[in-house]
Amino acid sequence: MTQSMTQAPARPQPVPTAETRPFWAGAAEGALVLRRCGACGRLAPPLAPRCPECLGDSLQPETLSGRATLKGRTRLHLQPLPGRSGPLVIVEAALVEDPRIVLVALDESGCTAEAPPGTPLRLGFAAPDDGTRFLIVLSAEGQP
Amino acid sequence: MNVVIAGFGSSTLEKRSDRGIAAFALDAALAALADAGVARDDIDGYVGAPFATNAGSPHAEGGDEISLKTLSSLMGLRLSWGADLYRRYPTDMVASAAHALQAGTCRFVLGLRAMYVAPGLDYATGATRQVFGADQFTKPYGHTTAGARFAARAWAYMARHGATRDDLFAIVDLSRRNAARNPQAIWRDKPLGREDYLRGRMIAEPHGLYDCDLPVCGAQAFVMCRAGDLPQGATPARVTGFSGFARPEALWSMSGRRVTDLKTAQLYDGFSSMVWEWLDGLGITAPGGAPAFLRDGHAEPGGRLPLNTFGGALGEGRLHGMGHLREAYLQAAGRAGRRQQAEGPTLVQVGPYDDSSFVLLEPATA
Repeated sequence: MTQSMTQAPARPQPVPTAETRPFWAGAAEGALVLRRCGACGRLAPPLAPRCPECLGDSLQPETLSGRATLKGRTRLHLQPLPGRSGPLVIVEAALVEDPRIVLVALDESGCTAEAPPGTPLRLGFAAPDDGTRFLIVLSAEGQP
Repeated sequence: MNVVIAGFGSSTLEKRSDRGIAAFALDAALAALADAGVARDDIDGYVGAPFATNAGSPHAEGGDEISLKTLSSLMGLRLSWGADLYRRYPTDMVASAAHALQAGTCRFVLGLRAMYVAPGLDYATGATRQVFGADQFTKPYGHTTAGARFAARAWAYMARHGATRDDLFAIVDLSRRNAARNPQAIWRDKPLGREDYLRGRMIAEPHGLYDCDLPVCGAQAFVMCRAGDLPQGATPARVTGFSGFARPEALWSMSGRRVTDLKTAQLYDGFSSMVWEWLDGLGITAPGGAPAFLRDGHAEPGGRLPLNTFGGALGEGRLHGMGHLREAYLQAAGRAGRRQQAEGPTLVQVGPYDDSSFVLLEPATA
């Protein structure tokens, strides 16, 4: 407790449930993990309790490639995250395994600065922030 | 569908106030009752949508939200039906009221939406210690703040279709000029030139300060009834269609109208770029064609399809679509005064691109 009070304030920390725990457990290992339906093969978004297609309940964790395309991007000039200064570059990334699944990540490196919509990206994870590794955008070559 | 909006009322709209949200709510409700010519004791139905939408809202009852339970107590209402719609819009309120009236559950429905800016709070923050549910994938990235998701979508639209900040300014400019003819608009006396627009600080690119509607303290309210119950002296607008879930098709089949029948449209503009969504989405313009439609003046008063003739949320203030519904009522009822456009079917759209709902209003004589 004393230590955490002397560190930089942390980003909001996720409170996982059974559905989202595979994602955060994967994140801790630097792996992008979602769950795939054992019955129909559809990839499920992180919060889904069942397959959104066939409503089956046999969702199995699967490590994905991390490859995605650039769907949306903004430089946010407000400061919603503690301990930061300067604009946040927020990216919406559509997964190549199923572009209906769009994940939000920060671009900490500026690799999307000149990128148009549809640019190939790779998702990775930042260094732990109060124990949680959050998504970041890497260039398609995997460079941070 | 034989249901009408019988009257509309508004409180004053203020940037800050020493009065609480309930005071604004009652001002609007009493104005609506007077406008429709019904007494408090005639009201036997109620519909609201009280959710405070800012990221940093405390969601305090009677603070920045006001529910049916609180309002009916403060107004001494004796209801046979009432509902608060969770995270829905004024357009959905009209649909729910119409259902209750068609079913014969009640005779006069009061619909109310109140907004409030509580002093000393940062409404533009998503900062919090822990995040639950869907927030765990958005808030740690700032994605819930200042319309970041609408900005991200606007960026993609502009990149794909070659639109610029001048195209965003065209929306803001139209809103400010229309607001000049709306006596209660928060920006009624504040024209905004292109240079001033471009000098406004960036919020979430491509949106700058003036691309965002202004949070206000205020409320607006309507009274709905069956056409046969219309009080003497009230001027009705018929509700001829509605639909939700970003699917306008049901509105067209219900009303028997087509998009080419529209005389005016009030399109939700919490952020300027949102106006493009349904110009394209309704087929008024081809995909990517909305900025040129605005640039070429087709959305101006007297133009091919006058838009947001009251100034929109960008000109009037943030009422989460209630101002859009009010203007559609005034246009359809022929009561818009200096703002009046050709009378005929007028469309209201409220909500984000992926969660919009729609209402079609028409003159009662049509």
